[in-house]
Amino acid sequence: MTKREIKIRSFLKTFYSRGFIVYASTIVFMIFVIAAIFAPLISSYDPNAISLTESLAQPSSAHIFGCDLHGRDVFTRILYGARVSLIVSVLSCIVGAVLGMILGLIAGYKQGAIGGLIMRYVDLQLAIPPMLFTIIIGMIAGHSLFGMVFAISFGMLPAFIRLMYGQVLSLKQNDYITALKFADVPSWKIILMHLLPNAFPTMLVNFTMNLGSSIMLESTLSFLGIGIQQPTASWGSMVSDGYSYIFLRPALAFVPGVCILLLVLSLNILGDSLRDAIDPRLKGKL
Amino acid sequence: MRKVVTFLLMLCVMFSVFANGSSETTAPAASGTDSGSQKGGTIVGAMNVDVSAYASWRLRSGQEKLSLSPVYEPLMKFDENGELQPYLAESLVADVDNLTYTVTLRDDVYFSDGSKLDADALLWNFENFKANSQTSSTHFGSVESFEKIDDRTVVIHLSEWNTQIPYSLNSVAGLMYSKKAFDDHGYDWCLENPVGTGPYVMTEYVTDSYKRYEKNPNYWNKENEPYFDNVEIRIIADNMSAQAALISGDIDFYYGGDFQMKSTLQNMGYNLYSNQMWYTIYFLIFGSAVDGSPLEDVRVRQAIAYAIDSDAISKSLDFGMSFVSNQYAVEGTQFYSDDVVGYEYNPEKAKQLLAEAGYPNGFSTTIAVGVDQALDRYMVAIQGYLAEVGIDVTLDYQETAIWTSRGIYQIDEGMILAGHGFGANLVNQAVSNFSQRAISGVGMLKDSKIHPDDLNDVLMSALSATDTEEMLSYMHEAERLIIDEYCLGYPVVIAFSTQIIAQPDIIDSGFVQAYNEYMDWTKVSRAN
Repeated sequence: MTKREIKIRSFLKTFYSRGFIVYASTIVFMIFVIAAIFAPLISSYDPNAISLTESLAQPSSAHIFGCDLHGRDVFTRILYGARVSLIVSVLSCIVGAVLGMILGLIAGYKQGAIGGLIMRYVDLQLAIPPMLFTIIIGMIAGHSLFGMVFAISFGMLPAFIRLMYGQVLSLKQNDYITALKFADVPSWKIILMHLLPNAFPTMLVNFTMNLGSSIMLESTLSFLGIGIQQPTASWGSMVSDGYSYIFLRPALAFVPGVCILLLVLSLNILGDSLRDAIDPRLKGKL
Repeated sequence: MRKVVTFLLMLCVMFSVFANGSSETTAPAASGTDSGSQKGGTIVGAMNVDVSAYASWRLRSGQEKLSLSPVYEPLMKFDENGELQPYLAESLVADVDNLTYTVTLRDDVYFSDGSKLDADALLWNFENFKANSQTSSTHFGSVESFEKIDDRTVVIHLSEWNTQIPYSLNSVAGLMYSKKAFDDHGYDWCLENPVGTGPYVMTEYVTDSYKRYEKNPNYWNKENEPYFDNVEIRIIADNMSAQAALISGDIDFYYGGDFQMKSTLQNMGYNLYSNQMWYTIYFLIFGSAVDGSPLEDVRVRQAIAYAIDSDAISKSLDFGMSFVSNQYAVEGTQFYSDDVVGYEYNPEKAKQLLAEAGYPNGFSTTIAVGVDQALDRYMVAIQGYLAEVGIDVTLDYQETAIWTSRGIYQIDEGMILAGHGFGANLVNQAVSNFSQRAISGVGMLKDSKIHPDDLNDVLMSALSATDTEEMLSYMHEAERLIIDEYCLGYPVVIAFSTQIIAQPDIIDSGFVQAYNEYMDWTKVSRAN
């Protein structure tokens, strides 16, 4: 067994050390990913095509979760809704993490006026309630998929900046960074070759933990009617639409609600496990 | 042990006896209209959104009509046969030759502040309405001046004959506000403090929470005293919360809610009361101020009309509680024209018309709607139907502030879906929306280029017709022009505009279930 294989086995052992719940979360997450990717193959229905003759149809072999008010197949919309949730969450976390890491690196390494400016901006944004901030940005950015990505990633920026800033401040104290500075190694090299790689695992854990939050945010915005534009399927708007028929057809709100719950829960558990695997000293700590 | 059980059983029996006895003595007795009824108590209603106006001349929305109708009364009222009769007025005399209406007031009407409704108060009300009301052009657009003749008489001088004035006097233009209150407190005070001749006075209100009313001690109409001593109207924005409040007995009736909620509650035995004169038409308006827009072509507008299945929308989305009309009028009413052909659902015909107009592959457009209009179900359905014929629709949900600040119906391009109330004053509504007056007023199609001269002439002729038959013949022709000839809009569905869902023991003997635009709070009671 090579050293690399041993490392991977050790990583996986720690990753799955919490047992069944991590296995279950992995399976749930993979199911949603596969559903999102292969939605057109899994269901033959058009998620947006209306058929009022099947309005509020009961679950049946043709429509396993029934149909919504406009006669659209709920199962199909769940599959396509998974796409929206996953795309929005992954993209917004990537945008938020990349921008946050860059700004955090600059602020932490340079400090001074630039660092102060960046961190005061972070303080300013943190003074605004996050949900309110995201709603306002969402309304400005519009109801498109990319509008949502923009709004949610903007909302996540302070967390990534602050984390990166703290990491850089801590790493800067290490002797090898001081030595690199004395050796006249250019700043960009220190940042890219030493600070970034060392801070990356912590940022990766934060990234994973934020995936669940961004799904919640997207669903919340869609529930409030300021998310993805109709008729695009989104779990949040499906809960909102189905809420009116909670006594008549509980599945309309219940099924997308459970999907949100399962995906967010699985991502949070996977995030925790990733943190355990990357830094076992933190196992079980918040 | 047996003694203890026996004692407990006796306690239960005594408790139930006293409980029953107590409910018998405190429960409100029969309806106010029934003999032996016991009046009093409080009726608690709720509505979905709060009002923004309290002064009589500023009332527009259904919620404003509901929550201010305990305070204000109109000059004219519909009787139980749907005939318009003087109410605060003693008589209304029309003089076609001299272009005047003469209003003579009753001698016994007093405002809740003790002041009398006399000619001075009436004259001030009319002049104030003409100067300050947003709906002035709708109701008093053809009024030249007002003249006080004696202590009880005011003459309305018209610039052209207008058959709709009596209907306007049943509407917001006929609601009377105390001139004394205005003189004592000024204009700004009046905007927030209603003072009318109605059976109740508003004693307290908390915005977005509740309004409370007490019986008007100076109420002039002693023959028609209200059943309840107090009224409370709460704001419950959420349908599910309102449904729960009704089921738990927290409220006696709810104004608002969707058709699903009403259908569910009606099936559970709750009463659904509807006004028989006032309707809301959900009208898809084609407006275009852009040269070369697809919507400039009448064939495109007709294609859109053919592409929408209103029967399915009514049956499926509205649970059969709305109805379909092929025109801007309700079938069975005098304004309905049998000559209008309309647009039966026919997607093939829609595709053919689009191809003829040069859009065989469809085009992209927008439908604008106010976000608070709660028309999402229609918007999604229309979007779906138009997608089937190749028209790609973007739904433009406009925030309330933008929707109203832009003048509600101002759009540059595309379509608007709006719920539009109409009833006895259909001529006024049609003039305000479809004539060339719309350009300077607040009607729909304000910025549209589609204001045909012949339609304008027909509508203005209907407004100035000297008798009902003539007015109706013009209105029937206007319906044909609006729908068949120019296809200025498409009537998606029509619904009763004023409906309450009430507890089984609430009796509506003309409260909502009548022909008047404003509710009559002396016609609601509680059964045994």
